[in-house]
Amino acid sequence: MWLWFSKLGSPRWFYQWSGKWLPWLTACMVVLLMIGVPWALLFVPEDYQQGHTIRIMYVHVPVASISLACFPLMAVAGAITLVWRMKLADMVAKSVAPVGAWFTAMALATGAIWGDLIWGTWWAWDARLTSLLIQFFLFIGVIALRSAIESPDGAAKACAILAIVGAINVPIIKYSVDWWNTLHQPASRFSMDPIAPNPPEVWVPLVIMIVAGYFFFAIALILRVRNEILLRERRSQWVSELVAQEGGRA
Amino acid sequence: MINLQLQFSSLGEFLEMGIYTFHVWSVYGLFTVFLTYNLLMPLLRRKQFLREQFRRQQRNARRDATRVSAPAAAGPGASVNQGNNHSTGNQ
Repeated sequence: MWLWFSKLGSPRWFYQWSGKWLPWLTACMVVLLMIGVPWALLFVPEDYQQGHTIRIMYVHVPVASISLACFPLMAVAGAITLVWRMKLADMVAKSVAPVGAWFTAMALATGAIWGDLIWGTWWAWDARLTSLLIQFFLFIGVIALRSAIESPDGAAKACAILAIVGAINVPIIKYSVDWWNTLHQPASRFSMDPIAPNPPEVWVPLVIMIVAGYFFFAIALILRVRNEILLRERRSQWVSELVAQEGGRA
Repeated sequence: MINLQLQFSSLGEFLEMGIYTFHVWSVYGLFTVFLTYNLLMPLLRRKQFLREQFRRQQRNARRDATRVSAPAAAGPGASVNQGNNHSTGNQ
């Protein structure tokens, strides 16, 4: 276990290992999207209240739920950076911030488009929406903080602390719909029963889209971490060899 | 089992999405942009990094080559060497 941990902490090892996994992750994502997107667009039955707007859910819910996973990941990576000073953890913390910001922005944008239809307004200062907007600003804050501090070590520490403190917002977003009376609906319950309000033909494609979303998230994050590894290790022997090998083709 | 019935009878109906054409399609449009950007951008950046580093390697190799050959030549060789160092320092 410890060996695995220290091995995973080696940027070079992670670079090589992720290189082997990327094609498989991409294949899984493509297959799931090729099932999920046509299913959501063509086969999901119209909602009795929302009609075809239900199809927006298959983008909005995966993107929003993954955006909530980004912040804890950044906080955990930050904590590992602070405690064990693992280089790779800081690279992950740095790379997850823009990905998380993108996911949160997408959740806000698709939510606004959906809200315009079913609530009649693009935006409301509702607990769920506001706490998600705060998460977006926190991601932007972490990115800005890192670029504002010149010393890489200082930047890593400051960002780790902000990520850990900011993670308090995640349960607030998650439970805002239960704690307060919000315009945003609470999480739906799904059942295998074919006559339940949410039968399998509604939620199975949603699950597929969520899993596809996680594959996409992993790929987008790994690609950024790999770039960060190359950048920080550019003076090392193995990166020079890689550059000599692949640089001519690039 | 799971009911898999096509919900549209024609392509036109599908593109129209009931009356929600703009909203539904703009969400899927955004989704496409989001996926493409977040996959392509890091790949392009990686390419750019490799290209830049490769050029730097070649430049350094050339500089090292002139450095090695410089002591063989007399006085003028040393000034060429200095000029090279200066130019790499600027880049």
